[in-house]
Amino acid sequence: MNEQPAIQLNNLGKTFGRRKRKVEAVRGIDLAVPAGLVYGFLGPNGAGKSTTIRMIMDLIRPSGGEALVYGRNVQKDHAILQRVGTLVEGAAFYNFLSGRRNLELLARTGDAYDAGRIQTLLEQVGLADKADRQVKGYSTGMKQRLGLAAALLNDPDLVILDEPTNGLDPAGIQEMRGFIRDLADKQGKTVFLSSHLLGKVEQVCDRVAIINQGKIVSEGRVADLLAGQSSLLLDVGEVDRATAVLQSRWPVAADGQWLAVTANRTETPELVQMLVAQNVAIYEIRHQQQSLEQFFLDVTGEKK
Amino acid sequence: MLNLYRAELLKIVGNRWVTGFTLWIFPVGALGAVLFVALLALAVDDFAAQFFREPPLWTSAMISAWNFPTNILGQMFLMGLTAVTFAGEYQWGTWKNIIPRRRRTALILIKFLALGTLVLFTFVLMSLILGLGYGLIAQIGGVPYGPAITRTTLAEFARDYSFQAFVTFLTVLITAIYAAFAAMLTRSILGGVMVGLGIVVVEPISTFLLAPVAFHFDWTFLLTIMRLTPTYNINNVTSWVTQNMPNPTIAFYYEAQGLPPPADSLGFSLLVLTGWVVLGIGLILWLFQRQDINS
Repeated sequence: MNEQPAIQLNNLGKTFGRRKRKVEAVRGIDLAVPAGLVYGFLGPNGAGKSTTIRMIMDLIRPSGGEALVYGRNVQKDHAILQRVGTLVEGAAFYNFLSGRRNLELLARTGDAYDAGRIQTLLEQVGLADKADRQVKGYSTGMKQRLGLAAALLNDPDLVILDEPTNGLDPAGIQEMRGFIRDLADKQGKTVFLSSHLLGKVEQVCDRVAIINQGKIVSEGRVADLLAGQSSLLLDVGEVDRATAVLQSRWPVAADGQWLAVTANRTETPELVQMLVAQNVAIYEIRHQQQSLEQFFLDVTGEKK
Repeated sequence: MLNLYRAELLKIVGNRWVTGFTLWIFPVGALGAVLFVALLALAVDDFAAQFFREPPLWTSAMISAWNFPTNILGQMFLMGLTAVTFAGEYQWGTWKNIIPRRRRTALILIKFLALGTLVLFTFVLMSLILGLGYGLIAQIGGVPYGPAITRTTLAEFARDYSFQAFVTFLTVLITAIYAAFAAMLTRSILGGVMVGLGIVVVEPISTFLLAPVAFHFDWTFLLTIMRLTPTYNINNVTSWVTQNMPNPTIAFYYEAQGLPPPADSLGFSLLVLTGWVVLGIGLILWLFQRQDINS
């Protein structure tokens, strides 16, 4: 369908400040975001996510490398951004204007004013009844919803959402996830989604890149990244003896009466046989698939 | 481009408190002044007698509106509006919404265009309020409101009015450039007003300080520099427009140095001022193109 990557970053880097105050926010990253997917760009606060997004949106000049959108360099060909909709790091609006007016002026700025589309988008994000109120009276969640509507004003092929769940309540987050999936599944858009809340984006992303300290530390399909990353939790009578039996074969960690063994589900019979052979009583076994959050903590070397 | 222009107007005019206190204050103030004069004329006999003995001319009443933006108070109001228009985008964090939608050059130029048309509209409105308002008072007092409308009067008025409006617009544009540059540099509304005001005050003072320095050190090249400053050239344009002669101040300085006085033409000053406008806006565009938008 779409032959070119929606986003391609070639050795993209950004350094702020000079000499002693030099901060390398993004360190020469390479990334290709295939069109038509929901792509997660994940990392802790300060990892370089927003700086990368701002470079893609031509808000920040890269110190090195290039950002391509549908094969075109955004710095040299700004018009390509007409195909992109964005919500960057918290929605910001003209507080003295109504939600509807804000959308109107953004649409006019992009030469894409259509009052009917604005009304449709306001309805989609659940703000139709509050659209004529001044934005200064909006909650953070309402501003995020308005930001999402603003990102979709020009019916973009690529939607870039930076921390879109910020300020949303659990129901709002759930709704946002559904909305994002629909953008890809029903409307064929590419969604590039950044977040530091990994658990909240795990279910919605087809593919993810994890960035830490300005570098991409892992990239791939969520299922592939988590394959083989499961553990077995054992409730055993004698934790010390069980540890001694298993640790030569699998990584083992004791946690109170529980023993966590990093092993695949298919290895369960072998594990049970080894314990039974040594007369270690087993009361319960639970299989636990590692979450993206745990994987992230592992690859970034951070502790939970 | 029309959509972008309407978006900019929507933003500026939609900020009602700011436009109210920096722009609409002029026509509203004019209306207040007219009402005040009318009330005084009704309440105080001496004032009424004096006012109706020498009522203002409609021509001077209308042209007088264009004097307000050129004084320091008027400039402060307009600098405030300019600073909000430019620095507001940083403080509200809204550049990130609009930069991806348009080229930065277009975003800056349209701000100047929108501000310019609003200023023109405001002072034309203020002129009409003053002209018609005093006419109404004169009508109530039963005194003539001259000069009589003839083809010659209208032609002269049109010339004087457009010249005065033009000179004022140039002054306002230069002031707006100072304020916009300061706002872009400091990314702050207050910074834009304060630094802009500093430039507005320092520039004419330093211009006229050049003359004593030139006398003291016998550096006549400083007088040449003086002839290239915005203040000198605005004064020169004003002098040509109002008295049909070059600014006499510079002649005095040259004669004091025993040098033949230059007669800088209207065209020369307009060229220099155009140069300043192009340079100022060019500098703002250059600065903005290089800025990282982090907010």
